[in-house]
Amino acid sequence: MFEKILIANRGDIALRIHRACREMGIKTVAVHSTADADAMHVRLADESVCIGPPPARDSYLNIPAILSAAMVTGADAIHPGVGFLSENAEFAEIVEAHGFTFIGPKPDHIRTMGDKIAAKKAAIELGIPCVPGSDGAVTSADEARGIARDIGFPVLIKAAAGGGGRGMNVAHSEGELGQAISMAQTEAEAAFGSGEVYIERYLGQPRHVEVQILGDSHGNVVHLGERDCSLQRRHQKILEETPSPALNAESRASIGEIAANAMRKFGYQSLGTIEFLYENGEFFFIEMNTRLQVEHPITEMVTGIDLVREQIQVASGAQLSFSQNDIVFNGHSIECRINAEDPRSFRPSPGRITDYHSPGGLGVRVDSALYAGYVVPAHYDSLVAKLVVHGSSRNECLLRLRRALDEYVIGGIDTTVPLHQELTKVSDFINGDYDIHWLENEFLKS
Amino acid sequence: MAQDVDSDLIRELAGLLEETGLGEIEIARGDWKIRIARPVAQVVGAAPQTASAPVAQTAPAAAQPAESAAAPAADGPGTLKSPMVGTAYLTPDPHSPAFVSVGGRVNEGDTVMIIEAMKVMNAIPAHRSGVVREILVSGGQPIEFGQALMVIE
Repeated sequence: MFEKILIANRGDIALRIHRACREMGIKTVAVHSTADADAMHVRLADESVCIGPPPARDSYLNIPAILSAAMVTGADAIHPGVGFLSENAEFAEIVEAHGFTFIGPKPDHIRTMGDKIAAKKAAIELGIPCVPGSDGAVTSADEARGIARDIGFPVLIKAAAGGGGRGMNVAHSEGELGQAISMAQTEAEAAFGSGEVYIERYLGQPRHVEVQILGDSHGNVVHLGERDCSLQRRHQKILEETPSPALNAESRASIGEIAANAMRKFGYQSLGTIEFLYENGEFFFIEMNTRLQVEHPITEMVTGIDLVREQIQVASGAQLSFSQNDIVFNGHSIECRINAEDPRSFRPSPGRITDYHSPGGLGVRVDSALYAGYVVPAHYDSLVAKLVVHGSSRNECLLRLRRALDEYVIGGIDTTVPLHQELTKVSDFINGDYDIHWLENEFLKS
Repeated sequence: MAQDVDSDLIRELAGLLEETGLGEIEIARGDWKIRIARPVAQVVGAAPQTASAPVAQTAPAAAQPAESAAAPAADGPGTLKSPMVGTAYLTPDPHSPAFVSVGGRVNEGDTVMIIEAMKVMNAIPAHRSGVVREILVSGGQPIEFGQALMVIE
């Protein structure tokens, strides 16, 4: 087992990783920018190394600085967290080449799943259902027309090098197709450095349902259920829940099986999440995230399994200590992402936290690095807290969530707590009746 | 700030800690104060260092924090700060004399030390001309971004 892990990230996820390490008796090294010198995980870590000025490219994306820090502190392994370098295959390779263990999957798997066209090809080969579409990049309008006729309009034109919801254009008819393609190619070239585009059927009212998987280096892979992340604004998740209100036990087991079998065939190691669009009882693969996810806590609440601990265990070469049959799903869990933003305009609101009181009680968990006196820096994304509730039923969860939100005090900055408070009162949400367009088109507009 | 430390008193207090199972004892007398604590919490280093065991801290009543090995010194315009993470070397190689010494003159741009990162030796230039007042790091010491290296005035 590792003696010392360097945490190459910040905020609540760095704190999360530190906590798992501390509970395992593993020493932690917190690397941080100057803006994060007073961050909670930096204060709690065994050692800390300042690696650069605030901009991410000079600090959290600064590979030489991170590796130097690992060397001078004698770390054994590096945990890349979420975002930043976590899905950077070159970083994973460099880490391994320098004798450290990268806590994540094999670099080749990161690479394959990072390229949307390659990922889709791999998914098809592995038996994961995909959105009907082009077989790779589309190069001519004629080719596009042919494909669109096969799969039916409307179609979605997507950038191969895109992701996270960016670089997508819809064409509703053949007439729109030519222009939509050339626009997409130009935008893709400018935004991602590659004008390669591919086509998929456009789904009208899908839900975003993702499956958590975990693999070890001995060929064992399990799935840990699904998460419904349909509540999104500009392709950013706002709230997640498990189980998905749209699935029954049968469809859950079925898609979990498919995902686990595929990853077994793939030889995948570490945590990973396979994201699907779900519509009319059908699952369609969109992408795979080859890392820990922000919303992992809700899976932990219903399974009782510490995902970060398991990730560290498998990275050290251990075999999974449980099989698929050992995994039991209990109750329901919801996570609210709380951002330092105005709840109506979403204008970022960095600054000093004056009062802080987080909710507690049975079934309430707060993953946050906030504390009274902390200054939320302006340089990074605005997620400052994750409020996670667990209940024996979805209804109990909703009541608990409402109660917990009402207790939460974050003074000195604007946060999206009021947005979540409103959300818990709306009947569509209460009924679990929403798709990926609902939050923007219905809730936020009213 | 030199003080005669009463080692007998410290031994006595340490014994008391053991005996009673307390985690911490603090005594103040006149203008000094002693606090002895047992290893429980982690010590957070300002720079990478092996986790240090808690030490008996003596402090005058004005309660200035004890200086740790990596505490940053004066933060004025004369302080040369590290632009990178790595290991400091004060000589060009193990057999040569140091680049600079306290009291010596340097010109802006002169190499004053090396910071090694990933087997690459990076020459660190003086940020201004002047006299080296203090050298704040030692050879082989791990260095973080922004750490004070020396004072040139």
